[in-house]
Amino acid sequence: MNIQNWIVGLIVVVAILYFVRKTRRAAAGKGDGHCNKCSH
Amino acid sequence: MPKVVALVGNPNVGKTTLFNALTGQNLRTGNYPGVTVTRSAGSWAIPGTKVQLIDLPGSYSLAAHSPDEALVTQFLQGQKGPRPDALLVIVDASNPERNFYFLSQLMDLGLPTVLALNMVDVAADKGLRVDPAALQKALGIPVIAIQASRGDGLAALAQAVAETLLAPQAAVGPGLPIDGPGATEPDCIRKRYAWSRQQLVNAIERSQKGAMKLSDRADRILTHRVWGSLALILIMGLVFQSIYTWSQPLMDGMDKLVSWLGGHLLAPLPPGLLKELLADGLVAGAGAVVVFVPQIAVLFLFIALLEDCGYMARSAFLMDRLFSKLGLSGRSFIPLLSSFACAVPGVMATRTIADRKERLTTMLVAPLMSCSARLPVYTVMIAAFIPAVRYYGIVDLRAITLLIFYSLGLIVALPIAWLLRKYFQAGVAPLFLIELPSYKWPNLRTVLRRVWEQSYEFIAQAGTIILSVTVIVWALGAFPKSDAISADFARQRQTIEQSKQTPEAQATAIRILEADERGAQMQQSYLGRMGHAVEPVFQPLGWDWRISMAAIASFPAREVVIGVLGTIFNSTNTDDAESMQLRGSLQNARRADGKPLFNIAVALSLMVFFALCAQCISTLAVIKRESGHWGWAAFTFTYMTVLAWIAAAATYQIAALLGGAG
Repeated sequence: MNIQNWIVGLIVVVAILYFVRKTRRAAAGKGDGHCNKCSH
Repeated sequence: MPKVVALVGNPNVGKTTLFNALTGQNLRTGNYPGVTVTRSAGSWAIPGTKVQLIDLPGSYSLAAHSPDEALVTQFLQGQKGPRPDALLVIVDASNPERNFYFLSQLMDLGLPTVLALNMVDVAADKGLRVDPAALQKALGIPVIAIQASRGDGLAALAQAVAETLLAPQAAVGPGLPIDGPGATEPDCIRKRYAWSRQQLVNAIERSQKGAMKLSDRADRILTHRVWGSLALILIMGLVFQSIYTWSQPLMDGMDKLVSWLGGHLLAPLPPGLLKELLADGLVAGAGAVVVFVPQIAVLFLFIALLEDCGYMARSAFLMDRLFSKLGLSGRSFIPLLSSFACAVPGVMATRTIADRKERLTTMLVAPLMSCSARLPVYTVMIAAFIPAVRYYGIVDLRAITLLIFYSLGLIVALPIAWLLRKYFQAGVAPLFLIELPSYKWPNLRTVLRRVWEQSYEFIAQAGTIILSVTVIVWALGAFPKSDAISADFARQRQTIEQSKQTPEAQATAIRILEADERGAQMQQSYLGRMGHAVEPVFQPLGWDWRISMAAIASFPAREVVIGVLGTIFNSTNTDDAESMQLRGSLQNARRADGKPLFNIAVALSLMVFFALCAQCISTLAVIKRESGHWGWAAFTFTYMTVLAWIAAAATYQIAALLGGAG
């Protein structure tokens, strides 16, 4: 496996972890990503 | 420990504008009541000390009716933690009598109090002059004239608060009950108004000068039963027309920029998996989303202008007539209006609704409003499949289509709200009272800040959640690779290279071949297998497995769909990849039998599905929080998803019958 494939694998794993974290936070009502700058 | 000062007053008197000016924060403001529904804290440096300033929702009375008013009462009476050290009461100088009713209750709390007299300019236009010195003498508390939006009088205000905190003196009000049944007795209310008039008698000077002639004249038309409704339709039509005409050149520029950046980023990389990921995941996916930033900016420019000039409150007033027929009141319209930007603050804004059943009904229909995340979906479908026809040289068919889709959520919400009210056995709509704010020129800073924040937010979404989903979708679409397909296409490639075509013709043929290969590989990838498994569910909507997967991937957040469509269709587009524009890729997409995948019927069904489906985890989470039960979030998700499917299927079938699937 060449270095490119390793980098791709790493990016995909990071993307999955990030997606899971972001979705869990959104489901918990934290950092909803839509209106974190408004007064609500 | 810093001293705690609570910023209190009636709704829409400029509390949050003052809070932002004093603390340097950027909380959202708007020229209509009910923008702030929760408390916020900020640090304020005043001479000699630092205070923690608390911005509270607006309230008319300490006898709370709605959840946001209850929050104010509980905080000021120390029912949830210690009482504040002092109060900074802000009143609208153009309407002092009404504001002084609440002031009389606040002074009866017996806390050290400073009075900020805001909007003196609006009062002057009305022919009203309030004398701060005379008022200070009458009330026995410091009174400072300010103009929060321009920052006038803030130094004097800081000085007055500093002195009050240094030598605190309890304010003395009329000494009437502030809670319990006695507080709402007609006699108590009468006495409070009498006290208010008495305090103002020597401090107020009226001239016949202005009397808000312009504002009143404008309202005679804009709140008129017929003319007002026509004006509302006309204004909204103009907004959507402008979104189209203004943002198109900017979007084309953005498209060129993203394509150019993508080209330069990818050029030095050797062919391989990484290049594929960057090209199909990053550039084709997230890049396709960034192109829509100008449109989001133009949309929020209009939302901010309409909010800040005071028109939003008029539209709520106009809608009350229609809403009350369906068991809701205009009070529900303000949260629904907020939901046109984003349903999360919209659901939270239902805190201004005192009636629990009306609040829950409004909360459950708020996600049907077309939030800004739906705009890119509408735009890309309309641009690709609705002809650019103009009627009478000015009315654009595409703008009308966009307006129809923006109205669709509201139109569908009304019968659903009616059904929910029936289910809740909620009876007649409560009476709706709204204070119409004075018209004013929008504050340029407020407007530009809103535009900037929303555009930034959109780019941040593209760089985070959308990017992560497009990477995952790319990976699912790229693996496993079929050796048989690779070998077959390698042979075809060799044949082209050995042919006697010109180099240009060879390059074109190879580009088409590569796109076809990606398409063939994707068919048998994990994404393709999952897509084929779910395809039958979406077949009645006219969708193939690729559209179905894009819709499913967008359930966490609907704006993801553009990135996913970009990843799926841009990479398999056989056209010259000069442009990142998704519409071209969608127009070129083919079904297995060679027929175009997208047509007007499919585009309409996709738009209807996205207009009505609950594709936003954040909104469901906030419904759970505000309703206090997961069941209501689950109900919202279920009814919206089923409704979206049925409506999209009906749209496709009807459009196909009318010849839209050709």
